Amino acid sequence: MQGKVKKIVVRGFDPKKTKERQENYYHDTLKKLDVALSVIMSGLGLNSGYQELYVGVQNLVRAGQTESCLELLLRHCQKGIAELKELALASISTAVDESCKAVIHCWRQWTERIELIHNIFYYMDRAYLIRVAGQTSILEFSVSLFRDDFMSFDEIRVPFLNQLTSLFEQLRNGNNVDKTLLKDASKMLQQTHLFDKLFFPMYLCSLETNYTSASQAELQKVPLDEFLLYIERCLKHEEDIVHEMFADNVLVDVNAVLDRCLVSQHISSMTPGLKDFVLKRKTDSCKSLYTLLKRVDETKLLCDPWSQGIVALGSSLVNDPNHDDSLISELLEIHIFLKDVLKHAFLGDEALSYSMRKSFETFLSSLPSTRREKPAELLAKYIDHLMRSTKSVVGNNTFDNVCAELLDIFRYLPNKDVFEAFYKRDVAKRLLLNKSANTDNERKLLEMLKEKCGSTFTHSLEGMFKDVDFSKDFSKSFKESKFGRSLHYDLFVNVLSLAYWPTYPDTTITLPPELETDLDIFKNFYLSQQTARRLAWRPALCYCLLKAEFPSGSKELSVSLFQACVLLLFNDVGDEGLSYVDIQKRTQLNDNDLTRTLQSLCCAHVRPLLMQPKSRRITKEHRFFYNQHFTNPHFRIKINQIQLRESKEEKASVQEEVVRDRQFELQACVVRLMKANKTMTYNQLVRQTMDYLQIRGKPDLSEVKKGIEKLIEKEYIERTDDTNLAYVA
Amino acid sequence: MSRIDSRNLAREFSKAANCTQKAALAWLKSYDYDYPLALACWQEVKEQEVREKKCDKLFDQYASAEDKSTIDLDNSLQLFEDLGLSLEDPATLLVSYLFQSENMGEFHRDAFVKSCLSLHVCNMEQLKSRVSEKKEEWSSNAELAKAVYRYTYPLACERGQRTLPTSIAIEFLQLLLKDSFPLLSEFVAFLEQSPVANKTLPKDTWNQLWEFAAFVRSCPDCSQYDFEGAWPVLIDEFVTYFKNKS
Repeated sequence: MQGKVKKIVVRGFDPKKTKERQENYYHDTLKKLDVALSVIMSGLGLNSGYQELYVGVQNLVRAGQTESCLELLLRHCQKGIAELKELALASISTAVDESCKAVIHCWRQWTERIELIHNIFYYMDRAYLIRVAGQTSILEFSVSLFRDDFMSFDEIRVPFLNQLTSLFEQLRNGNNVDKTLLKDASKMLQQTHLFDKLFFPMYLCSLETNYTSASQAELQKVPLDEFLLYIERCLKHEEDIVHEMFADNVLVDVNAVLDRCLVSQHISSMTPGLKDFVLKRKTDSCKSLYTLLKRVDETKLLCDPWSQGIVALGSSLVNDPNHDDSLISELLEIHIFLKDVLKHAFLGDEALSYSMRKSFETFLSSLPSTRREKPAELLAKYIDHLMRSTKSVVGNNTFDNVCAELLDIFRYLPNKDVFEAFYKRDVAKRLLLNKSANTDNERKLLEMLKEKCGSTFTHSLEGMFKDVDFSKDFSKSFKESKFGRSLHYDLFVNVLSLAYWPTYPDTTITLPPELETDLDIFKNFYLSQQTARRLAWRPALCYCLLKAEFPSGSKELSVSLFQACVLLLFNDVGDEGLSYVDIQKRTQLNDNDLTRTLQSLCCAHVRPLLMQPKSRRITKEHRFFYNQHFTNPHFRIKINQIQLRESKEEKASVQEEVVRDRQFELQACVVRLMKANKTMTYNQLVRQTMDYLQIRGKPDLSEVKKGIEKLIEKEYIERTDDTNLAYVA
Repeated sequence: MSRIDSRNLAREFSKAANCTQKAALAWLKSYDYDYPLALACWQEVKEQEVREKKCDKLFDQYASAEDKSTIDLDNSLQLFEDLGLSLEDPATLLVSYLFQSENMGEFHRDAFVKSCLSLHVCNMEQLKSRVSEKKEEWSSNAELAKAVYRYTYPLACERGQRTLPTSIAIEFLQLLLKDSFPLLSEFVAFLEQSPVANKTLPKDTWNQLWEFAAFVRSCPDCSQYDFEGAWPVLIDEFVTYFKNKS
């Protein structure tokens, strides 16, 4: 294309004239703008001509007249803000919210005007102000203008902030306040970047003063549980205000202040209340308290009142003999309640869960010596009832759940060996008398115990089950053998290992000859199968079924062996009956057992025998007769053996057993420790012994000391000086 | 050393030591012919033998007629009398300790002679003054006092027994601790009413009572007593009893 430039000629075009016209146009436009800005700044709206003005600005900018445009704009803005300031100053007053209203009014006006101006000068803003370094956009500079030339005046700013703060105070107190005003004020402060610098510190300060005193007053006025609700309400309220009025990011700071004056301030008055909540079973209040303390990360302060509450709750139960019948079920109930609190109110807090365990141990182990063994004994009894009952569901809980709960209680017991002794007795009774409702349940519980306490603890219990199983199989093979076929009676024998079972008294009794031969047959069979064993009979544990032909009809009597032996004597006596002495001579029973047996046969509800003379007690002078007029609606009748002072004696013997076992265990433990360590200090030995024995039952300090002294005396260990002990090989 | 030399030396030695040449030679040989050392040792041994003989003689004065190796109860009364001690004097326990007597009022020859030698005495006067010296020492030397106290327990036991009945223990406690245990009378009263009154007092408890007496001297109201400490249970019980009482 170079070199061949074509010239285009436009007719009627006169550059000189055009320039002049242009100048005129610019001048006019600027003038129009000037007028328009004046109108806008004076608060009057323009009726029309926006388009023209917009295009005018566009043209001016394009023509490089930006400077004069900007200068015009600045001049008017400055003038406008000055006018607004005058306006505001005129209406500033100390009345409730006048200043606030005035300032916000000005702000609204200002933003409205700037809005219009921004629209008109839009092209300049986009094309020039935003792109050129060192220039700020219209909106930005209008805001800074408002900040620097309006809000910077103390006469305006101070009353405004004060009133705004007090307006927020009113909002906080639930008074009716113009919320739009507050919202606008908050928006203005944020836009002018004055919020963080000027307003927010004041807001926090007022928040703190307000709640510090208000919450104190409330605490004096209402009970603690209501106070907690009050605090929760306050917290919620403030949070709502923040969400409504401010940006979310200030919530952290607001909460920090609230935590300080609503929670931290009252910690010492709030935490002790937990004890009361526990006692009164207020799960919700517990939850409130925990949630509040969680905010300030002080939940550990709850451990003490929590455990005080539990100990108080538990001690009142376990110390009161009147509660014994329902002690375990009430303990279970408390435990379930506390676990519920722990789970729902305390969200499974580790430290609190630990102190709950400790508290249970505390109140169960701090009983007076007369009642120390009671919980263990009652727990065993409770389980016995449970095992005997045929219901598979207790309350609305399955057997497994109940067992898990019971084992929790068991875990807290300081004297597990006492429990074991009682439990063992009960298991023995259930197994021998077939009283267990469900063998699976028995085994399930046994497994659970084993899991908790190790196999040494359940060793003998397992042995008992093994014996019973073995006996079943053995009896079966016995009956199938040639020995079994020569029996007179249908004989079932439980073969028990002495070591596993509780000790039972060895009673002498003269059995009917056929039974005697049957037993011998069994004995021979057993000894032919098993080598190196010794069999001894325990007649006191036997029971049998007697067929009886009464004039009123035939009956089956389910009786103990003692009762059967006495009843069988009356087969061959006539109307003259038998005297006490005769019966004793023929059965060889001792007085205790015989009176017990006779009493059950002729003084109880079911009376197959009669006595002469009639009385409540049996003496040696009594005679006994067969009851010809015996009637009973049932075919099979169970005649209970009278449990003569049994429970008391039994308890004492269990107790004795436990004490004896404990001493052995303790001394064995001391010797083991000394043997392993050779030398130890006295205190070390005591402590380690206690630690070792804790699984079964925590011994007293003095018991441990006595055990050590005994071993010193037996010369297993010796004192090397005041506090050191050495093992004597 | 040549044979002749050694023989000459032996001759000289036999003169000096007043023994046969053969014995002198053997003696010298065992000291590698170091003449002065051998002679010194010889004399010392001789002196020892002389002293032993003297002690034996001293023992013979009191030895029982039936069994020459012991001093029986009757004769030991004489011995105590000659030492200027009455039977009630606790110093008899000191003497028993010094002569390692195994039963009250019984002394064995071997132990007696050995003890005399180690006390460097070989006649009654020496022994008497030595015993009174030891008596002085007894009240000032805690080590010795403790040893005598501990020794008393087996001494006081019946022949063949290893534990001491509480009633007898109380008598001995009163002899031995009357000056050093401020709460002795309270303790005795406690023992008499406690279940161990008709039983025996364990040896360990007896031994620890010595330490307890020392503790009570430093803290007469037992306020600093540590129940967790290594005290025997009986002493724990006493402190509880004592605190309840006061």
